[in-house]
Amino acid sequence: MQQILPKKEVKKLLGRYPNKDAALMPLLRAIQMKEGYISKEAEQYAAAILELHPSRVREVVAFYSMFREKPEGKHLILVCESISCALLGSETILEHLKKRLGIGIGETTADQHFTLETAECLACCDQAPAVMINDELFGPVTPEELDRILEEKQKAVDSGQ
Amino acid sequence: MPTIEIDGKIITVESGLNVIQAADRLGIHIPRFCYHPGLSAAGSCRMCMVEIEKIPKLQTACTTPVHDGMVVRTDTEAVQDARRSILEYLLINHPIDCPICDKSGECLLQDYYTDYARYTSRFLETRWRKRKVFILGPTIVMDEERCVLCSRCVRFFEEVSGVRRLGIFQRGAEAYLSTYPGEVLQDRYCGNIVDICPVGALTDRDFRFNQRVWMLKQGHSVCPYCARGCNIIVDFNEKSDIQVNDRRVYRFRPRPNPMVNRYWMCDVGRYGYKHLDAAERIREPLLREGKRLTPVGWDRVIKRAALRIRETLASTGPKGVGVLVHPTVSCETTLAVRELFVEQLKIRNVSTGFPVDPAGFEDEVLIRRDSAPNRRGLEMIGLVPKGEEVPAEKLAADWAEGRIQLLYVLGDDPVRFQHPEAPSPIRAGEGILILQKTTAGPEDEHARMVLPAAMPAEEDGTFVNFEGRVQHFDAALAPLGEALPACEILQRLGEALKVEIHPECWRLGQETWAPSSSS
Amino acid sequence: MEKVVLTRNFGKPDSHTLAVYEAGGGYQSLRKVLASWTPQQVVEEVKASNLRGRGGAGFPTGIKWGFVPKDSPKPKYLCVNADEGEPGTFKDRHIMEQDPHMMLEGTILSAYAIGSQTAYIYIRGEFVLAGARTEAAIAEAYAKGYLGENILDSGYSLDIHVHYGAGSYICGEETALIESIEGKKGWPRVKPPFPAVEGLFGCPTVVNNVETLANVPLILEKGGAWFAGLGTEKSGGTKLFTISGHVNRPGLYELPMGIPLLEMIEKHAGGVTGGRKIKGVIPGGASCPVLAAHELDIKMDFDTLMAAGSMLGSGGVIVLAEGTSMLATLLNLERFFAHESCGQCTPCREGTRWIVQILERIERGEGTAGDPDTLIDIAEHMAGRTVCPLGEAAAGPVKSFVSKFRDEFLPSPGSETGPAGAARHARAGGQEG
Repeated sequence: MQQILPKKEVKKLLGRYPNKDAALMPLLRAIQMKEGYISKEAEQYAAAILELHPSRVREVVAFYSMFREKPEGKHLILVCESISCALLGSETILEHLKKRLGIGIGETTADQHFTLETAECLACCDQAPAVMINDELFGPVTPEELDRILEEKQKAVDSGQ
Repeated sequence: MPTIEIDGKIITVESGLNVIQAADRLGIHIPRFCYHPGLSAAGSCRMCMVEIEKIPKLQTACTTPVHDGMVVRTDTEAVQDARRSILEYLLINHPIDCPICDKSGECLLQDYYTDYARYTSRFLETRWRKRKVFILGPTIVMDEERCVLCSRCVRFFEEVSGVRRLGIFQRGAEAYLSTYPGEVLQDRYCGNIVDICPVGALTDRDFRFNQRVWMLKQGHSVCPYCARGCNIIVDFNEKSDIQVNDRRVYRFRPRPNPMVNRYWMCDVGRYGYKHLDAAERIREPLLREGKRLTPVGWDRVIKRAALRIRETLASTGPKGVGVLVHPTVSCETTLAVRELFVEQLKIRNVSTGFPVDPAGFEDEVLIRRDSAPNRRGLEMIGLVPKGEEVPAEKLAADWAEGRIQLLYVLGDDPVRFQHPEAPSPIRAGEGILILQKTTAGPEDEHARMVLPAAMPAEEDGTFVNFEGRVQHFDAALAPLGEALPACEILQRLGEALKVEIHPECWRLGQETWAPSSSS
Repeated sequence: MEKVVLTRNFGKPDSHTLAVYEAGGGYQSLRKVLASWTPQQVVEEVKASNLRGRGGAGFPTGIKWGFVPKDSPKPKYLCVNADEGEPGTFKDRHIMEQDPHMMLEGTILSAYAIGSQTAYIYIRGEFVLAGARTEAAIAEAYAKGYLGENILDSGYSLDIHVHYGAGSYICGEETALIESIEGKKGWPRVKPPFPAVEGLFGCPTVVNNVETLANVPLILEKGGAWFAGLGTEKSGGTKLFTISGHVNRPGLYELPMGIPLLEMIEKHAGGVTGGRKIKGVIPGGASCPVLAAHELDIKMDFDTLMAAGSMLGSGGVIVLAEGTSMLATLLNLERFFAHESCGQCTPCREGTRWIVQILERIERGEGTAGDPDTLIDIAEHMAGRTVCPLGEAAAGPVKSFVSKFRDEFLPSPGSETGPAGAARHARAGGQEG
């Protein structure tokens, strides 16, 4: 089986817990950080390391919404849909992004640059409506501001290639 | 020991028990889906909520430990209302396809619906559509729409069979039961999840659509396929159209016995019911006439067997006759063999069968390496004094090589019974081979006569399991065709031999159990 | 008057660093306690402070610690609940981003109080900056000898690990959080046994909210009586309120327990946007029953709100201005709960989805006169009938919104029997422009 993570890193994660299987979530998080998503092979890799049946791993991957089961674009855009952002227009923001990117929720642009997702409350209600792009928070945002942000991100991706 | 009151009835139980267990002992059935006495309590279906004095909210009976002085009510309006609401939640997305559901008639959802549900649906929305007829594995098919996510099956594999073969994936209303994607559900204990599924979500591909359960009669027996001796229920139809003028058996199910099999049985035993009506079952006494075994009546075959035994004893004395008893026969049959062959006819070439197959499978759950149900019983009875027994291999060799002129074999070879492809240890011989058994096999071609015996489910008897547990069983149903209980065959043979054997001494008592003292 | 206790370092340059925290007197409580206090003294002082859990339930912290069996041979665990996910709440994220050492010092002191040598901080997976700052703070604390073996030569040792969530609101429920640390789905456990007796890895466990623990260093520095004096009779200290929705200055405010709701909105949050009237307020985060306009003259503390049929919850105040569709608002809230239901138990799994389906149908203009009663009935049969409080959380908004704004859930407003019609496409919005 392919070793996705260095043995040293795995050992470090395991060391935090008295029980092996407790390291499942940090292990999956580390795999996703490295590979962008959790593949079926990765599930089986985690199961083998922790001596779990793969269905145990799969349950966890499927339960937690942040574990992604397919590759995402270079930029993951999360639009907060919860109440405080909804009160201040998150639906407009979401519609604008759908139109601009030409994709629906959960989809990735053809050039693999952007994936659009909705999120539950990001605890940024004071910056509503809020949007998170990769690890960065933006808010309050307007459609115009988002256009500007996305153009910058697009440029960064283009120049990076 | 806490004493508690449930619906006005008082019971004292050991501490650590939950309310639902105490109620079960009182014969008060508290409705449940996720609770099963053989599994950990999940407390998730919320069907078993009851009123407990001094606690404002309703409590789940399956997770509430009893304590002294507790007063429980399971029949109040609040409890009924709670049940009604849980049923409504479960039924809004249920297909209500009882007419085509295999579980119909033994479905808890169906039972509780008739008892407690609101009959007029308030659900105006679109019903959730999920996977129907989803094949989980060679024996199990799933209907996701009927699943109530009670997790009994998940817990069964985790806690009983030991490998976590099923999971509940996703969350909220999207949660669904499945194997790991791409994995085929295979397990030696799969059939149990059909028994414990409280609804029609998991059905058995073998039983599916074969019979409505209310057409079936139930008999009790002990599984004959290994030394555990799981207690079983035999489900059969007395009037089968498929098998004209005969009953037909449709399934075995485990019968709870906390000391032997708890609530479970393995699939080998479960599907062993098929032996009962198998095409290979011997339905009539057979006598070799010319080259062929020909059906003849019992009178003729018994007379012929007695004649041959007398002739052989007359010409060679007891040493020319051998008796091989497979440990698949009951204690009663063993006692009859001892009485007839050993004590009366003085035959000492006696064997209690071939040794346990060392390559056989065994696990920590139920399955024993020894696939014979009564080896311990045969040992305890002792056909001959300890140490004087003839190893089966020697007896078979003596027969094949002509040192024994007549061999009488009782019972089915336990190994061959489960592995029909395995070669028979009984080879051809010059003399007379008499087989008394249930099912045809390759050694039959060497036999002069074959006497059809009843299967354990078809006769009264006693097995002693590997732990020394004595388990008596009554006939669950009549023998197939002309087959007879083994003891009755021996009694008829005794009569024909003009040897008096006393059927009452087959009854099990301390004296009868004592090994033979005659030498 | 704003009482600056928890937010004393907020806004200072590099407030998240050890240097700034120490310069403000940080870790002095730890030094003092480890030098001369017994764990029992710490528990007593916190009991005297009237500190009540800031995660939502408001249970007295010192009493919760007291449930941990002292004679158990098993290891004891402290879990820090930093899984802040209640819509309208963002106080814990601010603490971790701006003053993580305050939480850490509180964690170390609390672990000492209950005899724990391992603590896990369960941080929401989405909290990138808060997580990074917490991890950095832990590294600093280890380097300085505030964590690890033999802390400050006291003989007491403690390790703290960060465990990230991965997108599940229910993991903020303490037993789901424990399951999640154990590497499982966030399916809340049936109680009993309670975590204090049998929690993480089957051992005695205390789960405390970030804000709760952040209060502990000051309680031990200035005394339980001082802390109790900051609050109301039954609830000590200040409270971090987060105000969002239709207000001019949404944000985090540290205010005394029991502050009048209207004062909070008008004086601190700058009033309602566009000068509109208030239509309703959700006083403590998405799961708390809504207060209608005539119920707003109320003090913000655990007991007063409870008496009024709502909850202080996590202190997330969401203001709904005139013009807001209560149907759309409730639909938004219930979609959240349906999405976050773990699916384990029947009433919540089936009930939350059914409620969403009914609300969506009403929104499509296909409502019936019976819908409001059906909604309330479904909610009433969810509340108190589930393994964990999510059933109650989802039911509260339904009962309050539908009963207080019944017209908006009828086929045509004002008519219980009127024909279906009047499609309401007005989304929760009402924002100017």
